[in-house]
Amino acid sequence: MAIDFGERIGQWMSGAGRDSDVVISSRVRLARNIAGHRFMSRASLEERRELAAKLHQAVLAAHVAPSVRYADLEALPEVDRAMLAERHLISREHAEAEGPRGVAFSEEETVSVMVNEEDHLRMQVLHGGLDLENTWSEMQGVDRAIEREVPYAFDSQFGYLTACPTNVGTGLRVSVMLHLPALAMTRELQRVFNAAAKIDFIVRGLYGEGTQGHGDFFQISNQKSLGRSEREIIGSLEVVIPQIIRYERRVRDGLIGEHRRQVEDRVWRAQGILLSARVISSEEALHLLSQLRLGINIGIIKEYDIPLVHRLFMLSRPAHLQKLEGAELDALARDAARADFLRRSLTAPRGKA
Amino acid sequence: MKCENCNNQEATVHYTEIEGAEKHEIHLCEECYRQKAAPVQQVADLGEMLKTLLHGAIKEQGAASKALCPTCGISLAEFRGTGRFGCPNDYKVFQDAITPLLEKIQHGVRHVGTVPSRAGLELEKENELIRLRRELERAVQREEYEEAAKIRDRIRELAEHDGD
Repeated sequence: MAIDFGERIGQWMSGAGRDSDVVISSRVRLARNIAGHRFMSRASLEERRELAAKLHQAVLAAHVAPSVRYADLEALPEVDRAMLAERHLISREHAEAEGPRGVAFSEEETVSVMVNEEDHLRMQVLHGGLDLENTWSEMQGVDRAIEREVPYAFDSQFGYLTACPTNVGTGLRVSVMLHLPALAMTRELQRVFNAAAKIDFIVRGLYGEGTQGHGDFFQISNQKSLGRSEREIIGSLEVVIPQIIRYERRVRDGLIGEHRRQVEDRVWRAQGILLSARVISSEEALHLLSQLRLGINIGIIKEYDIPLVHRLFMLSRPAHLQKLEGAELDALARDAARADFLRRSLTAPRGKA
Repeated sequence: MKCENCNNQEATVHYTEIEGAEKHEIHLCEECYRQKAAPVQQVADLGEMLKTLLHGAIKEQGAASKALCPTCGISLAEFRGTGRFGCPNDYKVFQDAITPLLEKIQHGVRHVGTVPSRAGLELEKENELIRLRRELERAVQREEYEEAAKIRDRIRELAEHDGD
C-alpha cells in the first residue's frame, strides 16, 4: 500500500482565506475516547486491534466529508507516513508509532481523524486563513457524526475523558498558524509570545510540541481544555490573534518605510539563492521561502504568487521530495534534489502556480 | 564561508538583523541557527510540566499512591511515571489526588461546554467491559484459550446490548 498526492497540496494551503498575508491556517482538534475501553497506553495488542477495526468502520460510516480515504498506518511505508505528517494530516508521533492505527482524511484534506493516537480518536478540521468560527462548526459536525457510531467516554464533572489530564474536559485544542517574518526580524516576537503565555496560550513551531519557529512560522494554541466552554476558548483566540496580525502588519509597514533597502536586500538575496544554489537543506528552504513569501506580501516580488510559494513549502519537505523523486535519498542527495527542484520551479516559464 | 558562531561548519543560513538604524549581516550553519538565532526559546513541553506537577501532588498522597484502579489496574505511581491514565475510571478513582493538579493546569475542575447528545454506556457496564478486556489479556498471556474465548463472548454480549 502507498499513497500518492502528486504535486497537489491540501486546500488549506491554497493561500486563500481571511488575513492570509499573516495567517496560514486555522485548526481545531478534539480528543475523544471510546467508553468500555482502556486508554491506548494500557490497551493490549488485541484491544488496540479491535479498536482500530471498530473505529475505521465507524469513521467511514459517519460520512464526515463527501469523499473520505482511510490509511492503515501499520501497512504504510515510512516515507508515506512522514509525508502525511508533513501535510499535517497526522502528528509526527502517530507517524512514528507502532501497532494498529490509522487515519481517515477528506479529499480536500480539511478534515482528518486519527485512530489510536494518544487517544482513541484525534480529529481535526483545518482551513486556510483566519476562520475559527466555521472551522469549529465543521468540527462539531464531525464530532456529532462519529458520536452516532460509537459511545464516547464522558463524565458529567470532568467532561470528555482523555489519556492525559492536559486534554480533559472539552478535549479541544484550537491553533492558528502564523507567518511572522517582520516581528521575527525586529526581535519583537519574544514580547508577543510572553504576553500570549500570560493569558494561557502556548506558542509552538510548525510541527507541534518541541519544534521551534522554522521559517518564521508559529502556532498559537490554547493551553487549557477544562473549565471553559469551547466558545469561550475560541473567543479568547479571536481576541488575541487579530492583535498579533495588526502588530506584524505595522512592523512590516515600518520596515518598508524606514528600511526599504535592507528588506529588499534580504528578499532579493533569498530569491537569488533559490535561483542559483545547488544544495539547499530543508530548514534553509523554509527560511528562504519565508523571505520570498514576505517579499510577495509587501509588494517587492511580483513574478511569483503565494500559491506557488506554498506549494514549494510542502513539496520541498524531505518526504515529499523523495516521493517526487520516486526514490529514497540520503540527506545530501535530498539537499541537492531540493535545490534542483526549487530552481526548476522558480525558473519555469510561467513562474506561477 | 564558515559559520561565524562555531567556525567549523559551512554557513548555510544568511540573514540581516536590523536594530534601530544598525544593520548586521549574520552567517550561521544550520545547527547554530537553530540553537542561537531561532527567535523563540524552547517552549515548555506540556508533558514535562505535567510530570513535575504530578511528582509534588502524588508525594502528598503517601500510601495512597500504591492503591490500584480496580478497573484497569494502574497505580498512581505508574500514572506519575507516564503522565497518562489507564482508563476513564481513573479520573474517579484518583479524584482526590488529581484535583489539586487540575486546579493548577486547568481553568478549574468542572467541565463547561459540549456534552454528548446521546447517552453513553452505563458506568457499571463501561467498567465491567474494561475489566473483562483485562481478564482476556491475562487469559491469553497464560495461554488459556478456552477461557479467553468465553471472555470474548461475554464482551460481545455486553457491548451488543448498546447496539455498539
